[in-house]
Amino acid sequence: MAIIELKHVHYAYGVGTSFEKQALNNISFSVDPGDFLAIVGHTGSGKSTLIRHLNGLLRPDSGQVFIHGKDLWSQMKDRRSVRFQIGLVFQYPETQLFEDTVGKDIAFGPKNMGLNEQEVKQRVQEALAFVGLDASYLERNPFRLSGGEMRRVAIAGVLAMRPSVLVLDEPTAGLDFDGRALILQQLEQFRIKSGAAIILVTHNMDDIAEHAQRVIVLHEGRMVLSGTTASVFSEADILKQCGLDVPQITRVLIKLKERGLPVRTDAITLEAAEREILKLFREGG
Amino acid sequence: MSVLIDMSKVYFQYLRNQSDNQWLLSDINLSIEKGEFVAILGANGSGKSTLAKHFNALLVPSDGKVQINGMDTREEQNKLQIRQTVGMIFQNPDNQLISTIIEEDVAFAPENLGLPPEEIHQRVDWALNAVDMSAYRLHTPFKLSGGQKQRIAIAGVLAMRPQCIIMDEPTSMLDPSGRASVLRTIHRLNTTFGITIVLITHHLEEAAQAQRILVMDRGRIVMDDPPESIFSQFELLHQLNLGIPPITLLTKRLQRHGIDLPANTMTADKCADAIIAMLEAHHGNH
Ligand SMILES: Nc1ncnc2c1ncn2[C@@H]1O[C@H](COP(=O)(O)OP(=O)(O)OP(=O)(O)O)[C@@H](O)[C@H]1O
Ligand SMILES: Nc1ncnc2c1ncn2[C@@H]1O[C@H](COP(=O)(O)OP(=O)(O)OP(=O)(O)O)[C@@H](O)[C@H]1O
Ligand SMILES: [Mg+2]
Ligand SMILES: [Mg+2]
Repeated sequence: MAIIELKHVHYAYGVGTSFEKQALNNISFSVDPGDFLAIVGHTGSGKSTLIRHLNGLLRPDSGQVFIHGKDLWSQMKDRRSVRFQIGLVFQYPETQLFEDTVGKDIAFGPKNMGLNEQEVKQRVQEALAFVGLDASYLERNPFRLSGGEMRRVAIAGVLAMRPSVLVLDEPTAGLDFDGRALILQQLEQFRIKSGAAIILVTHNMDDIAEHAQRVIVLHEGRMVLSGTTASVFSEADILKQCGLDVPQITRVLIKLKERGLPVRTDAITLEAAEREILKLFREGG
Repeated sequence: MSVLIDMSKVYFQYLRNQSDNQWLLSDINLSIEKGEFVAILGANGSGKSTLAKHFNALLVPSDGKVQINGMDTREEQNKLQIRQTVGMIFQNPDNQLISTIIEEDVAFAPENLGLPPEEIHQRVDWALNAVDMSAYRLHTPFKLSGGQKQRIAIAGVLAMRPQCIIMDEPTSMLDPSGRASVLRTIHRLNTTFGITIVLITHHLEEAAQAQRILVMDRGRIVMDDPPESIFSQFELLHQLNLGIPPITLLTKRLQRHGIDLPANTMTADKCADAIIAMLEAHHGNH
């Protein structure tokens, strides 16, 4: 059964004011255990608004959100517990940090879940290692960290709850190269080991090409594309209209094709692109 | 040319009298000329933002000296003028947005400069237009998406039109077209208005557009060279945790098959051009 299912979700901000904004328009999709889904769209297209619906932070104006088959707003009494199952890492990590040490901050979720001290401690250590920080950070003040360090702490805090769906809003923005690779690899590991689903909001097409199985493209609050990663990236024109792009590797192939060379343009990995280009050299023009 | 930012033997730590390995900046000697476009690269926690905060006197050195246009940043009476000379776009826009209406927010700095209302009005129009946010001028900045906030923070500094703009990861939350447009704006500010630009970024492709790149590692400046020379040192980039762009990886893979593409190919367009040139040479030989 799907962990999360959205049916015809609509949402507007500032209804009845002159700033009324229809942020989501008829959004339907579902997420199964073990899925790795990416959500993309230009600035202001509705991505952050959408993911706030997944754990009950926002309530749809119309349409439904189902968690494990139950309607979040009419069939679930304990909506708070949904926040432990569906962990959300916000776009700006500072908005998520509030304790005076990194250790307490990461422990907050597990503690609230009622876990015993030993278990909490273990989860904190695990989560810290997961994001590539050593134990010396535990006693530090989270507000006196660099931007990338703060983001890592925010991710660790959500991870420590071991949610069954992990939703991350631009988790790799501000991370250095190793940090980005590490976090994405770890998410992949976590997904495979625990069977959790990962939902990633990102502007980085290269990250998506490497990790996501499916992609949803939002444009002005509507879902304009949805499908496997390769199929979505084969729609270069639509992506461009939405202010987005294909992975850089794919762009090389598209350029070659535009110049009349016989290459497939649906390659999104280094291996596949390499193969296509080598073929050109072997086949002869 | 004349020097805008001058740092000599700068050391910094938040708490004084800690052990020597606690320096967040160490032995920084740096001079940036008026009109330069400099990018700063470095791993998380390497000291990029800490260095940048020394450029407009938000932080002052624990030891050594920082001068902006010859003004010592430690002198209290210089601070106002230094902040008007060097504008800063912070890593998180929330730290920067103050007014409840966007156009007031963008007008804040020019008003503080005491400019005439007509001029203020023009600058606000121009700045909002430059970041493609004119439609939002009467909205409140606190109810915007992440990328929209980032654009407003950029507009606020553009409207001030200082001699130097420091941008701390200004495109981290922007979509590909938004990023491209901010970079175009940066170029225009640099070439048309002669504004000195310091761009902190984790994107090598963005840094590649600067004239000069500084690389930081654990509080020190370990490289200071033009992009071409930095990007030809793969091993070092790797060691410093800066990564290698996907196009460069593709180039390396093809080189292993005897396809001799130039080493510093960084963009998809250049890569495709180089491949086509190689193909022509290759097939020409048969
Ligand atoms: N609290 C709010 N009140 C009113 N309008 C809002 C609010 N938050 C967002 N909006 C508007 O709703 C639209 C969707 O915003 P959202 O934050 O979901 O975009 P996003 O896709 O996450 O963008 P980004 O990539 O910039 O983070 C935007 O036009 C935004 O201005
Ligand atoms: N207010 C503070 N008090 C104490 N230490 C701090 C403070 N702010 C940052 N630091 C520490 O100083 C070091 C350098 O931080 P800085 O913010 O300059 O890094 P950065 O290169 O900008 O990193 P990032 O890419 O993550 O933004 C980090 O190890 C960080 O933990
Ligand atoms: Mg957002
Ligand atoms: Mg920083």
